[in-house]
Amino acid sequence: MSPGWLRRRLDEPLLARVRTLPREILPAEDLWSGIAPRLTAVARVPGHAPPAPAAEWGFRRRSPTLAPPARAWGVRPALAAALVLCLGGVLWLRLARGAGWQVAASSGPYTLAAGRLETSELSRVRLGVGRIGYVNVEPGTRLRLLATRPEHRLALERGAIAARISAPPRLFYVETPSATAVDLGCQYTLAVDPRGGSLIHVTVGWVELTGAGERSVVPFNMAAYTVPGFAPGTPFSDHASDSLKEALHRFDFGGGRDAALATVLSLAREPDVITLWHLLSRTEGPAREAVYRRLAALAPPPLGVSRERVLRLERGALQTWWDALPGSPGTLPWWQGAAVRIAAWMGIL
Amino acid sequence: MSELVRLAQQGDPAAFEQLYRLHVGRVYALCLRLAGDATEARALTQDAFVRAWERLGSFRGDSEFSSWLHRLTVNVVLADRRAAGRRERRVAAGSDAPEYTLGATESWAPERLDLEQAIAALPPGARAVFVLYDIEGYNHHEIAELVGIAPGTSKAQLHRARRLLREALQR
Repeated sequence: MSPGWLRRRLDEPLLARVRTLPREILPAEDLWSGIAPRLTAVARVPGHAPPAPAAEWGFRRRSPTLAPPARAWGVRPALAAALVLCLGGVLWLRLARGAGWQVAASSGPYTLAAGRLETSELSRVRLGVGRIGYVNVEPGTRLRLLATRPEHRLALERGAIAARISAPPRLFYVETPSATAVDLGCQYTLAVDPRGGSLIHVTVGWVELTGAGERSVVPFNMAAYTVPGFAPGTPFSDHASDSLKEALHRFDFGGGRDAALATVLSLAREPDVITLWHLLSRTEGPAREAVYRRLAALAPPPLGVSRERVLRLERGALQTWWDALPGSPGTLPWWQGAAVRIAAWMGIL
Repeated sequence: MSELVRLAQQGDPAAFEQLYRLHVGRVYALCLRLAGDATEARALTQDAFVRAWERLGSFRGDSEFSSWLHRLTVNVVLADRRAAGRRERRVAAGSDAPEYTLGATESWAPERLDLEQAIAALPPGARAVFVLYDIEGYNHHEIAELVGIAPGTSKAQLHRARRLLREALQR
């Protein structure tokens, strides 16, 4: 048997790929219709009964390979690549734009006709996106290839994709029934459920979600839901508690917004500051003041960002605060932040 | 304990549906990776939520609901695999099939392209340990208790899984 250090060295490239796997995969069909009728038929364990065997063990969970700190290292190569690409200039951009879709690899049967790509329950396709990256199309997925000029654009009707794009922002768009995901230079997974709702999880870089006249910016190690007829959901951290996520879902898409907001504010911790920043512009009056107080307690506003300016939603103040939040471009190492700022200077961020 | 969980514990199916919508992605991903088959994963996901509804009264809120549901799902999948193993053993009575070669077939087809596919093609025992350890973050003692093997076997299965994956991905 090989010594431990050698095994670790051999395993590291594999584990680096494991870190990019999505934590969540939505099934291609709505399974609730098969669950609901069964609920009335089962006898429920009463509240005073002992817990189910092994259901609530006292084990402390080891950090999985998917742990965010490890994954965060993956940002470097992608953003370094983005920096190089930005400096590559207009010539490269012209080359990248307009290059077509290509099926780079596949397993199992799939159909590709009239700009529609559909995988079976057992097949996968790797779709090349011009010269800027690729999309893994998961089983049971249907999408339409809409455009390659002036940017790459596809529509995900159902199923799931994992995108890996190494390019300046806003060259790759994915439309879903409930929002459009705009690539800002990143890796992410996106799944659409049979009702048109979606879940995006970003592992590297940022994604902008737009829809119903609103937008959310989802940074790495965060996720967001979208629901047809609603603005894109507020992003939440991988570390957010279940209760916070549930309350946020009610705030975004359900009733009882005031109670839900109060729950979010009471549960918000340091990893949730990006969530709170988004809530500033999604609330009004006293609710916005409460969000401001909680955000300021967790991430004090930088110099020049006054309470009044924030409550008036002055763009400059919000942007300065955003830049100072953990996970935003302003707090990245210089070479990562530089890539984003160059992209912004070029007018594509 | 969250409001939705409390309502679901009181028998509110609408609250339980909300819980389903919030957690189905994690549960399905776990079932898909452990089972290595989408059709089976859908059935197991449904079973896991029905079992969760049945057992919800025993959830005391000591841990996150997602952790409880996650653990329950692992139990549902592994119990199903054990039952499938028993069925298969009855059919092939007298054969010396090793514990972890039941279920999915292990072929390393050249067109198997990415990591998910390579994981799905692992022998079931190695796949279960790899998914639980490297993707889900369980330790070897937890895995040993869940799967019903010794911790040393869990470590050996993990090394085997990683070696098979490295070989598959290098092709």
